[in-house]
Amino acid sequence: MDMVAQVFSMVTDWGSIVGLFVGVVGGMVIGALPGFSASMGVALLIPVTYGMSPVAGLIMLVSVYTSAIYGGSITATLCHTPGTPASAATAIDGYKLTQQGRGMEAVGVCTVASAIGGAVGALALLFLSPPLGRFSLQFSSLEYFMLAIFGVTIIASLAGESVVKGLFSGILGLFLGTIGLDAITGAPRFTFGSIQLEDGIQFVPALIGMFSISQVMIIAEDIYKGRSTIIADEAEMQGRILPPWNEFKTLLPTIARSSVVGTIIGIIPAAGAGVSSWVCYSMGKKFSKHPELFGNGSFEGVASSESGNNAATGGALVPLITLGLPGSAVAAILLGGMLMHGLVPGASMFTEKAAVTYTIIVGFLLANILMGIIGLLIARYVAHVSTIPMGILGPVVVALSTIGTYAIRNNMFDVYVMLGFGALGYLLRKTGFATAPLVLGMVLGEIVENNWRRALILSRGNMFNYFLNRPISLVLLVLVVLSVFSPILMNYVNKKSREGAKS
Amino acid sequence: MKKFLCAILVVSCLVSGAFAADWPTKPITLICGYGAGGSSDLGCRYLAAALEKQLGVPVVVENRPGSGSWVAWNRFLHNTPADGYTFALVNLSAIFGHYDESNPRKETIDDFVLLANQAIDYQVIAIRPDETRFTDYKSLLEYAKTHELLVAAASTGITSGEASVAKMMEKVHGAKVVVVPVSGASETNTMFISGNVDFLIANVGDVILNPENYKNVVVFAPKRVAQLPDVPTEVELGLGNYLSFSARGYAYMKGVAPEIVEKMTAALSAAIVDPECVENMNKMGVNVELYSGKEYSDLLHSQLKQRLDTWDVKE
Repeated sequence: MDMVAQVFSMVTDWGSIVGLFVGVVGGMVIGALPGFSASMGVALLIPVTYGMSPVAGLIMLVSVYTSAIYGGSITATLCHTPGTPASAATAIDGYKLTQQGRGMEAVGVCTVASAIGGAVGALALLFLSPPLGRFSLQFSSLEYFMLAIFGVTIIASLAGESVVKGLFSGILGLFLGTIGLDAITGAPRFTFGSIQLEDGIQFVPALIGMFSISQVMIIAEDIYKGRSTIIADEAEMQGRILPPWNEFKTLLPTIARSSVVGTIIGIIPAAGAGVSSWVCYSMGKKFSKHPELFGNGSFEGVASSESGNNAATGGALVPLITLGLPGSAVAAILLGGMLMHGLVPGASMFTEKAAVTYTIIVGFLLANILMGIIGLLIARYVAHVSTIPMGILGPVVVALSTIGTYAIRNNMFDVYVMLGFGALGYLLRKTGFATAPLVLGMVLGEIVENNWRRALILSRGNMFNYFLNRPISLVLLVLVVLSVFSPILMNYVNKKSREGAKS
Repeated sequence: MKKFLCAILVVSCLVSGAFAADWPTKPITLICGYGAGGSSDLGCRYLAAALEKQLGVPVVVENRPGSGSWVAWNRFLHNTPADGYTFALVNLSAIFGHYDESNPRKETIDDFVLLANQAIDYQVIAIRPDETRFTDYKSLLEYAKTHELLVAAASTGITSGEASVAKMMEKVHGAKVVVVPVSGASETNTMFISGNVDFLIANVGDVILNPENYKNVVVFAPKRVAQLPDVPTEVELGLGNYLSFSARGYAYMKGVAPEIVEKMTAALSAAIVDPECVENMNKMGVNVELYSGKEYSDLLHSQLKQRLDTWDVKE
């Protein structure tokens, strides 16, 4: 009881409340800007926390983290410009909804799904951290590999109109993922002697090119054809912030499922919010009663990827706080922020420093709720982005994308990558190749290859036995097999039952 | 016309001489080849704040991450004016890149003008506290003669401190050690704690944060380190004299006026031992050790020679 009172007094301290507000609003803005991702937001704000108390500073940093992941979905939905890589999956259906005049509702669904997903992740962090931390240690190279293979099986479901073209995009993505230094031997591959390519193609610039720049090219074409705004006229835009209740309640199971799955994926060090959003999106499609709507404007699609990526933020904090092992770029930066304030993450976080730890986690939970409230309040205004004349919107998107891309590494080469991928994305979209499989292929290719090769070393030359001794890998193997063969099986069962019905 | 050109030449010489005497008159840039928010970046920022006090001009940290800092160093060495207003963070990768078998760099240690070293982090070997197969460094080496042991390393070959220790164990002690290359220190740590590898080669800074996870058996330092007073050195154990550490310091490119190099070295040396800067570094688990000028160069050359011997590479 003492602890609860202590946590309550620390979390309601003025410093904490200011940190919470600044973190949530700042995170939202940083997340919404293309190129400025969650890790950059946290890194930018670390120096700001110098003068703050550890609790207030850390609350601000974790608020930025979750809020930036949410903020990315706003621009993804309204202008097909994912502000962070984690929102790429949201852009697919969110933007279609905006074109149908339902942008405001799509932002509303994003907001509610993000807030619920984030809150579920935060609750897991609050109540289950130590056991979940131990669980995260069960994952190693082989499990990362199997998880990424499961991700690869999703590619077909993102293929869009043509499975063959979708597979081509996916394989192109996997290939592009091999560029750079070989992670095991350090040998350069496909770098053509350029030092800039040694780290591989930078994912964020490529993603901004594929989604935002190609989108502006398509906008330019629309302007030429005589269209001036994303939706034909303002009257077309519906004035609701959330879809009607009977439509919205069908989303709840999706949100619940994605929140749980997202939290688990977040805990696994190699995965993170980006992978989580794709896996949840694809699961949403598999479980949906209307899978045909996915890719053509599905609230379920938006809800599944958005609750998935925000739930993953809570999950990603689990190994950091319980074990001091940062599993992602953001977590590594947060580790620096914690050490700076004299907080050493690890087992002591839940013993001697428990009050501080729980205060930060409660702050994180509140940040997710506050983010939902602010998001719903501003949805009405931000949705008007879709009524801005395209002639203005396009140049603004290009300018922001360029600045954001340059700012990541202060590197002009990244801007050229962005432009190159913009042209590639435009060509692919014009010729009916879906871009989502390419993005997913790029994300997963590296994880698949490096971890398989590490697993081969870890197996000490006996992969079969090694596999049998790792139950999580076996479970993931079953999932992969089910994912690959379920459509065939479903067809067969359906056919049988139809035949049965006939006779 | 000739007179005019001469005059320009003389004036410009005078001006550049005056530049060196007045230096610094404008903000100085510190190039950090690692991303914002990481340990290297924070170290640079603490140093920049302390250096501002010494020089009286703003010191701006510019992050140019990529290819293990080589994107930054390439630009710094070949595409930045040597006017003393830009200096860079350097670590051991800058020296070993040239000897990297799979991806050799043109640049060597001699392309940098070494100013001062800020931090040294010695390497240790740790085993799990509940380990039963071996209990100390000696029994670990004994056990490894007959059983192949796995250890994780950030990158491979001579550029990797961990892989070099593993190579030494193999070469000097006949131990069978297989290296699992991973992407960084936090991953080597995860591999160890989760039991996927048999022991850990890490820096002192990595094992002091959560001490309950590690039983440190040897430190590769010339004498015991202050943070781990109970851990013996390899020399003390009578098992060898291998030294291994990571070092972080600062350098100019060639061509900076000698007066400026001297002034900068003095200012950096004062900034590195600035109490506030030292305290902040210690909070991150980083051990501050100042070496400047020739001493710094000798320090890095000794580590270079050690690793070249270990890997049988000619200088």
